Amino acid sequence: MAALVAVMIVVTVLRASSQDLVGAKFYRVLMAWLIFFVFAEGTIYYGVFKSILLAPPTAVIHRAMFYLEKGYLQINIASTMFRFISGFFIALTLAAPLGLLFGVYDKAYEWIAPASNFLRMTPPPAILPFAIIMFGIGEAPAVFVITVGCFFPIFLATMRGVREVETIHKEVVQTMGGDQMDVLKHVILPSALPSVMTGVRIGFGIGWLVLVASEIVAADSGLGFMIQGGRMRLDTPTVFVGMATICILGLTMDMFLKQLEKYVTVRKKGGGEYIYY
Amino acid sequence: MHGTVFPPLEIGEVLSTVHFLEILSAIFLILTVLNRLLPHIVSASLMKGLAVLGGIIVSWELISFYEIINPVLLPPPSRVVSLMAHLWSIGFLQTQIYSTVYKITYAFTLALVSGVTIGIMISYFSNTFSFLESFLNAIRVVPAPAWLALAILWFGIGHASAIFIIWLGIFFPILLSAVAGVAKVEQVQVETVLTFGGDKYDVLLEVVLPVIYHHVLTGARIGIGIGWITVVTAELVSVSANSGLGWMINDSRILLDITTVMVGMFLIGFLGIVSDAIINRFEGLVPGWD
Repeated sequence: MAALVAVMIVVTVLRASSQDLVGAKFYRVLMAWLIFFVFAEGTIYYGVFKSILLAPPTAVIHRAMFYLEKGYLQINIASTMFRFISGFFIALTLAAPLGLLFGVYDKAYEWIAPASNFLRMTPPPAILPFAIIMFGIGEAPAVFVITVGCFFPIFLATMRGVREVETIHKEVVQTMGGDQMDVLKHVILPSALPSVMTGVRIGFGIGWLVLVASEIVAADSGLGFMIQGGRMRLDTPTVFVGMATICILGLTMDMFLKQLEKYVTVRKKGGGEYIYY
Repeated sequence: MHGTVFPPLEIGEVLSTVHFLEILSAIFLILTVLNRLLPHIVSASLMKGLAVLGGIIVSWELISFYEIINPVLLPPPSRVVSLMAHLWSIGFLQTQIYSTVYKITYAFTLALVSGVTIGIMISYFSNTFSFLESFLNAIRVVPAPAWLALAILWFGIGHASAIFIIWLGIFFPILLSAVAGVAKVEQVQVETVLTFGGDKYDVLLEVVLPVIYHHVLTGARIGIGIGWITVVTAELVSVSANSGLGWMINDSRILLDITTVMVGMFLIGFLGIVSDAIINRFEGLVPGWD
């Protein structure tokens, strides 16, 4: 706590000495966070809030250190990431080719539209109990549900991307004597790629949500399981450690995907659409 | 303690496979006639899609009938439909639907009001409220189900904690869409209002709100999808006093009553489609500026 106040004073002095070194926005955000932490720590210390309801930041940090030392946090991160990455990649390998197929033959999509819409609107956690009965408690139902969650955003975005390919670009390749494969390779894939990336990012958001949901409901390891266990033991610091880890992992992966998207969409004018996640 | 102990279905109450297939083909015939008579309502492309859907249902029925997959694990659709009618007739289904719809509507209304208000605060009045943004970002990246544990500690078991996490799920898409909408406001229109002597609040009413209307609708459609995910999650962990379709699903799963699980899954999917269609209806209500 003294350290936090010290940081506040140092930053204020720095800002007073030179405006350029510490920008106004950075200063305001940093101050808001520091005041928040001091507030959280102080109110719990003086008993305004019960420590069960809101863990003091120091307790959360101590708990995280303890778990890191024992290797408990690492195990849970590993199992969460394993589930997420396998589900996500299964969805990607299924959804992207299917989206490409139904995008090219868009008459075919009419046939499956009602069935696909119905599946899309069923929230993945509602499929979870059914998946548990089919596959048993363990990795498989979670991976299955994450796959379902990631599938539709990627599938629909790929299909839309393929449909929005300019006809004139295809015709140019055909006029030059290219066949279907050339059109696919030189026109459809490059123009659909930014749209696919958008779908991947939306799918990532939904998959991450579903992952946590499925770990809370039915898993014997993972960060969601850790949160749920902490709740049952009224061990609020553990709940916060789990939430903070999920937050950091999600942010890191989202930043990585954002960079990838920037790299992919560099050729498209006005690429990098806004995503509501 | 399980609440879903219904009187079991009598043999006579379950549709036989033959009966079920007859009813299906009758529906299909009626639809074909409607397609001929009213092609603008029952279009040809809809018929194609329904044909595939019908094919899936028939093959599923036959798979269960010939016991290719154990019918306890994959109950035939005829049984699902009969159970749905039965649960409806004893009034059990209505209670669960009401509970779920109540929670998601409550949370959606809260999220709409708070999302638009805070979105305008941090983007249009960004000088005063921009510090809120980093807090909101930190909350946003933790998915709504992860807040479940804290919500239960804060609000106790009951509707309140469920509504809290559903609100969290719907709030952020709406907030971000409102912020994105404010960023898309044309400077020319703002200046026109200012030239005619309007102040900042006139700009807000005349220019900003109509522009963000359409963005917020997009956010609301994404939000309601996430809202359904979170409401089901909250009910699966039976946060909200043992009621709702999600609770019904999980409770029957524990009893290995897959038929009820399927009834719940289909109802949630159907309600999801209905809610999406309702929000879609609002699309043309306010004319945009462009």
